[in-house]
Amino acid sequence: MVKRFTTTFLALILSLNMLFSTTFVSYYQAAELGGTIVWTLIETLFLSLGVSFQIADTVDKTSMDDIIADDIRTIAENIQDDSKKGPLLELADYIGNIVSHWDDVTGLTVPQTIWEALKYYCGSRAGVRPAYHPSDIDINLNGCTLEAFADYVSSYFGFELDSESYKFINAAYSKFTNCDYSCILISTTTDISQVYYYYFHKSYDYAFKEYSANEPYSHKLCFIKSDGSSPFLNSSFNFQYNPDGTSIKYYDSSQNKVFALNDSVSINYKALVIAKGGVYDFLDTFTRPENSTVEVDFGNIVNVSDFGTPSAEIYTGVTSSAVSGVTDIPADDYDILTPGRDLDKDEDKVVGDVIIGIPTGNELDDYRNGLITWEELMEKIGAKPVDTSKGETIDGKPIEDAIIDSTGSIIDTLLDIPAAILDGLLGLFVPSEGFFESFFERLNQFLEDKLGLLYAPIGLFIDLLTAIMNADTSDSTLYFPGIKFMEYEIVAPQNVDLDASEYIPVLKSTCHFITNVLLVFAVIILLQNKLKEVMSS
Amino acid sequence: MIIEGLLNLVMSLLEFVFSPISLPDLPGEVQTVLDAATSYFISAVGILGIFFDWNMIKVLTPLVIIIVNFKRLWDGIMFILRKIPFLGIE
Repeated sequence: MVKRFTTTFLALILSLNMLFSTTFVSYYQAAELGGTIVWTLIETLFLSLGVSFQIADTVDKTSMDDIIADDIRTIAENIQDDSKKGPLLELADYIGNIVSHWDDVTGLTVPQTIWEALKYYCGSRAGVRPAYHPSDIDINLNGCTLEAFADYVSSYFGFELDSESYKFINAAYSKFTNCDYSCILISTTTDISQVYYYYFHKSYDYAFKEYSANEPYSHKLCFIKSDGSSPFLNSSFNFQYNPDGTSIKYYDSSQNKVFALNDSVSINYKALVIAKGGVYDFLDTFTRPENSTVEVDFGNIVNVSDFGTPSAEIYTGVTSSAVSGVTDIPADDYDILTPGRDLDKDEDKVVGDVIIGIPTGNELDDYRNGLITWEELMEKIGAKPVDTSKGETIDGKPIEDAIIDSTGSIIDTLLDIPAAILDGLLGLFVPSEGFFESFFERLNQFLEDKLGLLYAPIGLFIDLLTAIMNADTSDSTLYFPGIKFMEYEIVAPQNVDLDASEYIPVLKSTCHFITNVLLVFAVIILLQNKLKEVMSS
Repeated sequence: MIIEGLLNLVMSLLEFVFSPISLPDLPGEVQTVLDAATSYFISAVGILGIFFDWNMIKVLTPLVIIIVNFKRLWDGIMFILRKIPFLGIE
């Protein structure tokens, strides 16, 4: 009764499931087909009326929504700090809603730029991604102003963009439209303030009160045009000073060339410094040489002339408390940011000169021409020997460590040579694992196919050998084919386990011991005879 | 590598030599009888296992083959070693 009920119930469920699935698929396919037909008719109608469709270079809202929201959520989930995680998750939802309703409200297409900017902004806010504006972003706002965007977000969702984000977007937007070129600092370090200190204070490590000019920081300096393109100098580099410390060795990956970023270019500084969110104290306050204070907004383009003429000694007059978080800087340790000096004159060489910036109002080539290659610089200064005391590096390591590493690797290589030779000889004679198995299998199959009945005895022998090879002493099962008399079966076919007997196991162990001893002795005698034969011949 | 190459060469030669040959298989009835006989032999292995330790035999058999054919094996190895110039074996 129960079995019948269960069977009926399962059959019913299965039938309903199949019916539902079939119906659902049918409806879905019908809807899809219908939608395609209707859309094609509409498109044909418009085309016949001379209205052409131009697919705008816009974003697939749905996918962008998913990508950005997922990306931010992923970032958020990896954050340990709950104070950052919560708001970030909320922001992910906001962004999803914004994308969904953007064109409903504004009637404009969704500019990808904004979403990309937001994405990176969110990443930087979370502290897990370096703050930067991707150089490949096309700053094309499609008629939407960033201010309008911010207002829209604020009014529609009741979500107030905080002052930081508003400044970031607004400053980036407005400044990009007003300058020819901008300089963007991109940092992959966790604290961009270090980057800034290294740029303007020439790698003076304030925490440890020492110079560390050759620390292998992965800084990135990117110059981009106001249209968002990045014509050159989109490079990674380390702060590596030349032997006499007059310039930065700068590797430009886009040109695969090493430059000496020196001060032979007359420039007006314009630098957009986008700091990691929440860590921008270093930009809060700058002090002019005459000790007046300049407030620099977060994310704003910094015109260095705002806080001092570069040719002046910007930091010589700075008191130690002028830079946030920095105390007790000895005056002698300040460096002078002095462009326009001639490297040929020794007296003009100042340790650790750093110049960042690109010319405004000049052609790009002028700036390129202002750069000399690292080799040219080395020639110019006479290629002085490397001063290891200043921490010259090889592949980012101090030279002593590099030498030790190299020596160690040479010794290791020498020690590995005998083993390598042995491996090579073994490889010459010892076939790879599984080779024999596959080879004999292939050979057996080939001969069986070709020789047919002639190969039958050999096949029989191979089967017998295989049976012996697979024989297991512990298994004493004997197959008994059965006994038949006419049509009557007297004994059925069966496997007989001999170990089930009381005497067989005892007999087996005794026989094994005796035969093993005999076999071993036989092999020893054979070996002795063979040895005699070999030695005598 | 050398042994692999030689065996592959042998295999290629066999394939070349036997390429025009394709003999028929055994008749089905004969094959059935042979299979039955094989099964009896294989069953007998179980009985022999009472008297002989197959594990010992499996160890000793290759050893015996090597000892008996020591001269041939030695000649084969030396033949290969002589082909390596930098070893300088005459």
